Amino acid sequence: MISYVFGTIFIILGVYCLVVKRNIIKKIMGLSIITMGIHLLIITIGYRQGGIPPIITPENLLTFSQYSVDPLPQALVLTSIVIDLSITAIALSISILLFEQNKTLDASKLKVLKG
Amino acid sequence: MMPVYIPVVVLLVAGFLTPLIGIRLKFLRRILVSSSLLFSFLFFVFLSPSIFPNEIIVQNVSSWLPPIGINMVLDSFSLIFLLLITGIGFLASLVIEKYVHERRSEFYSLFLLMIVGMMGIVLTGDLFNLYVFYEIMCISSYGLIVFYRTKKSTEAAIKYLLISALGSSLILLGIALTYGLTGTLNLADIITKLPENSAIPFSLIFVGFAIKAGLVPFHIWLPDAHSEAPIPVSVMLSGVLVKMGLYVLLRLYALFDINYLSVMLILGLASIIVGDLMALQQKDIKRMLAYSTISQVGYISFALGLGTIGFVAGTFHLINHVLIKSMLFLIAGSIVLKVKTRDMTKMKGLGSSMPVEAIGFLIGAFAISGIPPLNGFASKFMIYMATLNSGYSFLVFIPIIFSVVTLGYYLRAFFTIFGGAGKKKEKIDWTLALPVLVLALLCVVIGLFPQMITQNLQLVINSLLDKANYYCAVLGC
Repeated sequence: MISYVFGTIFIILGVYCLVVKRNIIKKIMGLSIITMGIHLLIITIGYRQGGIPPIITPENLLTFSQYSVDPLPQALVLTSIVIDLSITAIALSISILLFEQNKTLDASKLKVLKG
Repeated sequence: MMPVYIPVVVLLVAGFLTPLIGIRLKFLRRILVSSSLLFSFLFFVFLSPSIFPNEIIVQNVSSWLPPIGINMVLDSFSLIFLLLITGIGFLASLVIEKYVHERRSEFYSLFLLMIVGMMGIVLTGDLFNLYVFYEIMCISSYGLIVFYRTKKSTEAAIKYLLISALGSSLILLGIALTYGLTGTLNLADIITKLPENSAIPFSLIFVGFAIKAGLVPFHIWLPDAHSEAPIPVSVMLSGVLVKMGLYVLLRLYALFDINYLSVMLILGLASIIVGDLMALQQKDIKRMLAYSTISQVGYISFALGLGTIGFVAGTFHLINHVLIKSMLFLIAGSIVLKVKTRDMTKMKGLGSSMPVEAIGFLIGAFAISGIPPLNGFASKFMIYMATLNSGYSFLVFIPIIFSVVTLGYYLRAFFTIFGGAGKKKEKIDWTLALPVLVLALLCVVIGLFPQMITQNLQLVINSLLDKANYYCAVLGC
């Protein structure tokens, strides 16, 4: 239950960071925090109280479906982490370019494009 | 039956092969890219008789059966989009060499990956798989927009990235909540398991895809990104990529009956108004076309928002807009290549040196503002008729008035660019002119015989809305 609360808090914090902060790097961190919160939520959706890892062994063959946690969300989160990594990588590389060209990372000072 | 994901695999392999080939055999890259796109286009053309109008091909990717395994679903509605993606992609790939002079291998790779992502979105039958393909498309488009590495393009790319990545996070959250509600991710399986109150996950998903479709008020990234990208990318972005959002929204509506159509109607109206008013003020030709995209996507979204009555009109206008806007961006590209500026006030008298482009631009301008006998007229007329027959008939004057505004700024652009005394005649560059000619011809032919599209489109939409058929095709009855 508590991880639902934490997941939601992470998402709200991330959105706050993305919207309010002016530094591009902080905005990118905000994006990562949002994604972390969502990952936590997905994992929690698949969790059950006192669950065992979703691996079948000869010992737990019969009781497996009763006690195992849902394995699908974990696979989803692994995929999603990879996607998040590539988004962060390309965002950071664009912000390096941005800093080289403008000598600033302040989003409010970027106004070549307007109207 | 051949697996329907063959073109996706071919393009993916070609995308990763081009940098390798680029080390030694540079001349082969272009042939490989164009021929793989042409192959995909022809593959779907030859597949179309066996699908049209209401056959559904379901392909399990591994030997696991749905709802557990991943599956590809190809019906006639997705076939339309696949033909548009690969066809426009092929035409755009013909002109890449003219606009990109360095790091071409990188460009080709990203370009093909973006097309793979779009094809995957259309083909997939699984909600999470859709998200993965959507991200493939988004990430490669970030790379393509920043490709020239100018000050403007970097700013446009970071703006686009931050907004679009927020949208993708919302989509992921929506998908997570849907999984929590239903315990499955297969689209067909969700139909039966979705509980009554599922507004929250789908409103999150709606916002995510509305950002991608560029509907007002989520449009601020669109004019920057579309105008700063290299021309072949602008063609793909404005022509096809913004339609992916609308595709997914329409598909989810057809499957799950989530009632967000009235929101689409309101956002569509706002897009029409804002897009056209902003386009009036632009001096930059590519920015003007980008704002015009916002307004035309607004027309499509407005028509879809009218309900089932407007689906045929909306989809028809979507197809027409893909053809017209791709042509206009290609023309803008060859103009920019010639005069080396995007400022329309600095262009004059290009009509005599670029006759094909001038005729194409005039056809495009008339078509997009709905002048008979071109294709835009047919679809816009259908939108007006659908509005009159729906419960929102009092709104019909807004699309009509803003069609006139559209005609106004396009004609002004036409006369400033092509009008006036021109220089001496020059040789026509057929590499640039050929795609324009093909698209202009299509616009005229569809405009003269709209019946042959609309009658078939009615059947396609009927099969799209028949979700029992979809369920049976995927999971068996």
